[in-house]
Amino acid sequence: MMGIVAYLVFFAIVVLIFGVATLGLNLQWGTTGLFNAGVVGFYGVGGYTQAILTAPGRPELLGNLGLPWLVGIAGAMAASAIAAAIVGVATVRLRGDYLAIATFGIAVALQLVALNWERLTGGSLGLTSIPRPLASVFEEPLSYDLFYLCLMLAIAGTVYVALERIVRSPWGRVLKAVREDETAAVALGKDARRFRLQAFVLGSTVIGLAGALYVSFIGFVSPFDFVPIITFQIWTMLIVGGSGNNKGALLGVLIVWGLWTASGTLISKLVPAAFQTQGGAVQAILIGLVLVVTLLFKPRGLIGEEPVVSRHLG
Amino acid sequence: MIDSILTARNVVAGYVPGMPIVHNVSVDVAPGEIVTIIGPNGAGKSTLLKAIAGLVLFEGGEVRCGGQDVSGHPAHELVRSGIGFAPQTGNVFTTLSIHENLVVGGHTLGRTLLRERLAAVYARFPLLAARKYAPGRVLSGGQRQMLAIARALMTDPRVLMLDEPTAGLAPRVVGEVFADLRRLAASGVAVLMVEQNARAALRVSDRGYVLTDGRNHMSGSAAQLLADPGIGEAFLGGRRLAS
Amino acid sequence: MHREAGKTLLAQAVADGLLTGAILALGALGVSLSLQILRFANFSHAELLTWGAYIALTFTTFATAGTPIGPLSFGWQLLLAVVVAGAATGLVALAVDRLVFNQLRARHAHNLTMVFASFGVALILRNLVLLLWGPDAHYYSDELQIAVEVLPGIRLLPDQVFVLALTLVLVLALHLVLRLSRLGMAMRAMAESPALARVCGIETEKAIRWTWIASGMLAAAGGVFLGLTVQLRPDMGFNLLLAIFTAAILGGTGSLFGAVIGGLAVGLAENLSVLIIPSGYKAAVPFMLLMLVLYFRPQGLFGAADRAAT
Repeated sequence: MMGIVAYLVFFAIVVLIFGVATLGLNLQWGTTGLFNAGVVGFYGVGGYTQAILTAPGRPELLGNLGLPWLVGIAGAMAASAIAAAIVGVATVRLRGDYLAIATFGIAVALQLVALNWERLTGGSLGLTSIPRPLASVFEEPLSYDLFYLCLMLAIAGTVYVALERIVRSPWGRVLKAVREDETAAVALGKDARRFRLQAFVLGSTVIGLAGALYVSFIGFVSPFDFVPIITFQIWTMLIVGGSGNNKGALLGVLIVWGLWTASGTLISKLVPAAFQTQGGAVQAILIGLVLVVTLLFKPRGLIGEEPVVSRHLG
Repeated sequence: MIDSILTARNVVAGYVPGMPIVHNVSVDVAPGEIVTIIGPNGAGKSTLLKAIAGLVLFEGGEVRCGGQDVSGHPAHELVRSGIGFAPQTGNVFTTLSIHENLVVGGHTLGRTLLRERLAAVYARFPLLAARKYAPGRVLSGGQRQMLAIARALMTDPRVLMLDEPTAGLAPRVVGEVFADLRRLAASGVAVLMVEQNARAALRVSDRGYVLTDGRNHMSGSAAQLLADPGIGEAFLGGRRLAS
Repeated sequence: MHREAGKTLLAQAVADGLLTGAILALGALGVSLSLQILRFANFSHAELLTWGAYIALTFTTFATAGTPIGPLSFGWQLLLAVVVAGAATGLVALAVDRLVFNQLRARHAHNLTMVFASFGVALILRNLVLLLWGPDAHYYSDELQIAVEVLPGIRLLPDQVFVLALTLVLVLALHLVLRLSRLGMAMRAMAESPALARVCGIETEKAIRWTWIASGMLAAAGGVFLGLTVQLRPDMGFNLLLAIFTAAILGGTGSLFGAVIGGLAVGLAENLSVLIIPSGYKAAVPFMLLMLVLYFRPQGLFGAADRAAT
């Protein structure tokens, strides 16, 4: 009984963490129409920054500054914002495809840095002993997890409310106008770009926050925690939930993560050990199919209020 | 009244389904005639041509060319139905040479026919023949217009539609373009054009249509339209109709 | 002596760079074609390299790579395999278009929807390879090759020379088709202006089909060359995706010639960078190049200035 409760608490925490990331992505895509193909990069920047700032010092490492948790969180968000700015400033005046390529690229580049810059990131071994907030207060695993769940509920709730407010604000309305109508965007000119950049950076900051929360929960970090398929999972969560809609985003996380873990468990139980990699391949194919099928048959699931006419008519 | 070769009846068309820009517009052109469509900006003149050419949403009405129904047919079929079209923007391929523009214009032709038509077009437009391999992008506005017309002629169309052929051209060049169109019409081609340069266009035309707000407002011989005081002030003097 | 060694290292890096560059060029050509003609960034293109390589592998498994021709590690069966893989990969590309991208085009999908769909397609294609052929590395033949000194200080394997030569042939062939044939002119016309092309009577659907076939064939060749000179792995194409996109963008939107130059440039940059930065970061070089291009000249070296803008 306790095992199931513990598992559910853990599951809920992960759902909320991914939820925060999906909310950030929703601001970029659902509200502003920006295609971030490197979500895991910003997620990872947040996670690693949290680790580097808060983990206890080790002689061979440059970072590990042992700073307080909140500093880590703030730093993580700042680092994601900077990464987003680098990519965003270059591509905000260009076609959407370019942002996709650039974000894809930065995710690849960041993973390489994580793997290779051993002095900072611990290389392929990663960083351990990352302090969890209030770990000394809740020593028992289940009570700590319950605390973290409450913490996540509070944070996710705050992010949700904040983003909902932002989307309904005048700033948010401009974003929607810019997404819907490129002529309006052209009329606004430079301003449209500024809004898009702001939305992109803000969304990435939220994604970085999620990464930091993940790392400070798990307590260690390695480059293999931030693999490209995570970008995929978060996108699928957004799509299945119906993008443009923050509530839908959270629902999507629940569904997709539930299916993912369930299928993962099923595969590990049914498939003999020698074929585990192939089992993982099947999982990936299924998620790819879910995406493509949703795009083909339920396009509003992706774009919400899709413009009716192709921009490439004639 | 000579029989029209291109008849458009009650055409409804636009860019967004359910939100037409052209409402029940009808035009006719007969072989050898030059017909000009004029009207204020946003009146749907270009949209009408594009609808006939199969480039925008065709939502209602009927278009016939030489008796054949071509309503709403996809753009690439219009060439075989005898309709040539020179759009306003992007009227030539700038990344292709003059020769390649013409060859592409003759895409639907077999090899021998292509060779014949190329020879004919070069004979008709010696200026183009002189610079066969120049890339489209180095051509001036007037030269591009000439190339656009030459390209459309590769398929020996019975109807030639032109969207603002003299836009942005110097007055002397405007005259040259219109002279070319007169010669074309004299050889039996039906010419239908949309023009902002209303006065100059009507002077070389046989008939004209005035479109406002996507509808037929008036039509008549070019002389009648030129003489009409209402039209004169609104469209020919450069002053636009206040909506 | 030190300077001699440095020069040799440099020369060798250049040679390796050209080799990588040739493979990247083949991939970039396909990406450039779809950026121009199909108007979206196709993230599944790199998987066609993988498929081409593995289809050729299966073909040679049945027919064996054959008794090696001369100093090459493979026999004429591999050459045949390239042709078969090219045709098959062209068909795979067409099938994917028919099932996914064409359907989206018909519904007037936003071009970012197509990009997103291409991610899904990439995931499926990549993992199908993993499923069908397993995660281990494969090779076309077990023959060991001895590097030949092609120029003073530059040692290349005969296979690598073959790859460079054949890439040159393929690129020239593509160039000739595009420049001189009516189909090529129609495709270039379509790339510049689909509307005007249709007005000229070009059936865009047909041109699109040929674009997919050509992209698939070029990618397959690239994949086989990659498998030949390195190894076959399910993620072999995916690992080149960023470099291929960088090559296409560096070369310039709207320029196939640029895609080739871009490929060579990225290949050279990657291999020369190893002389300066730790080799683990080699794969990040394309990203840095990409950022430079996007910041300073988004239309690339040979692209039209207006193509890149929103």
